[in-house]
Amino acid sequence: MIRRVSLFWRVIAINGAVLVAAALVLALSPITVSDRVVVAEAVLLTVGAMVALVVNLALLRRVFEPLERLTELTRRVDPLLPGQRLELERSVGEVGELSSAFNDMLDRLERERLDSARRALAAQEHERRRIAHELHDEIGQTLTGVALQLDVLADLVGPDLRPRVTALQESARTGVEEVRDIARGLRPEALDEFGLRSALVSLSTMVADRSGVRIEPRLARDLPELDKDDELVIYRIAQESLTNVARHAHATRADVILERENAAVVLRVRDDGRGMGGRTEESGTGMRGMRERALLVGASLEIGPVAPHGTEVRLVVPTPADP
Amino acid sequence: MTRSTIQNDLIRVAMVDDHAAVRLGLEAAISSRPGLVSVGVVDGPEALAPLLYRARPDVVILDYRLPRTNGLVLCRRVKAQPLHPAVLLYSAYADQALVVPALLAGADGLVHKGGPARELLDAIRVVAGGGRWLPPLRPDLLRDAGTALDPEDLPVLGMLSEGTPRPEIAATLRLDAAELDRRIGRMLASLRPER
Repeated sequence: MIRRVSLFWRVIAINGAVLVAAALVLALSPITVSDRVVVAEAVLLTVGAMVALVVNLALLRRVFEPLERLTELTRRVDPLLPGQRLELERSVGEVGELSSAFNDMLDRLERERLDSARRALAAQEHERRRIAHELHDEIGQTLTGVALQLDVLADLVGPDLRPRVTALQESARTGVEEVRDIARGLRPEALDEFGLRSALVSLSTMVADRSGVRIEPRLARDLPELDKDDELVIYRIAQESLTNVARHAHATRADVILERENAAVVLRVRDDGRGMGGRTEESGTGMRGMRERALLVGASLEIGPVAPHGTEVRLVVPTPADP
Repeated sequence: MTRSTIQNDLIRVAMVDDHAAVRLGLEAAISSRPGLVSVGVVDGPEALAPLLYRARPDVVILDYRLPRTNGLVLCRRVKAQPLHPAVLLYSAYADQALVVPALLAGADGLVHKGGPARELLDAIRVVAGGGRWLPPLRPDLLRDAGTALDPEDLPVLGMLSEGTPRPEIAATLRLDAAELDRRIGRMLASLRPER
């Protein structure tokens, strides 16, 4: 029950006790104070007051200690590692209330942060999809038409003009390809149209064709139903990982593995490249972006070396328990 | 007897594409090649049926992405008609993922929209002559499609990928044409979770 005593009353009680003790000492000891205070008495009174002060200080310090620890814990809360909460095993009323209020606030902040990050991501995906469609449906189609017309023109012009038309043809075709790549990077059409597995196969083929890395998708048959957000996170993380493999890893082959593990779907992108070397896991916005995406669907992401050399990105997406 | 033999070996080509620049390019490409003639270009699925009836094309080029529908749906509709023309799907992306669905929808060819006109014109000739113009089916894609499908339907996919004609597939599996068509519809649906 002592814990329920509030901080305020503790301070009053301690101060009261010290004052009463000082008064008792004064009353019961042979110390007297003359009408005109002499030097010896003054010294004694000062020493007495100092002793009372020190005792008071020592006792109050103990009382305020939980508050200091609370401050210290508060400073240590890391927004990138949600789920941290203050725990004060021995605390007085106000401090206990303060820390539970603080924990409640953390709950609300984390929830709000998750919600707003989800909203931001959904808005971003929506926008990406819109831009991808517009790029593909407008500029891409116009360029395709131009390229076809140029193909026809190339057969009609004389040899003096042909090299110029050929150059134009190549530019138009490059434009078609570029628009297609940008649109595909923005929003994987295969994911919307044919689902995650086809999209991962398409992605692997595309990165392999472009980079020369041999990429083998191994996608399990017995995957549980995933919702749209989960699929998108898995796709985006596979995409980011394969892009990293193609760009930085100096790998000759990579595996994209999607399988079921207990109550989760696990994506693994593993390469046989030179590993992460001196780079830390968090370097690069790509990694941070992957981690934040994973966080949003409650998934966990680990990036580490594999033997004998290479890197593995491992994403664990928990699936709702079977009803 | 195919229609091209009736029409003095002139291959009659019709097109559905919702983009004006592509329609212009296609018409220019087709009329540049001797032996091919463009018999109609329309911008949407609604205008296709009258065009088929009126112009009797040998080959129909279908854009994959169309307003309110897509080339696969349209392809099935065209192929369901008696005396149907050959169908070329003309797609700008998702090419790898599109091979199996194109096969199921009964397309005779799948041509990448970014490719040179020559490729499209060659494909038109081939499918008009009864051949197929599909990219090689990657084993992993076939395997992947296999996992998404009902095991009972796998023989259908296998025979389609070998180019077995539908009546023959139906006969082998002791199905009537309507039942085979219904199963192919179901297979397409399970490969396309969105629709």
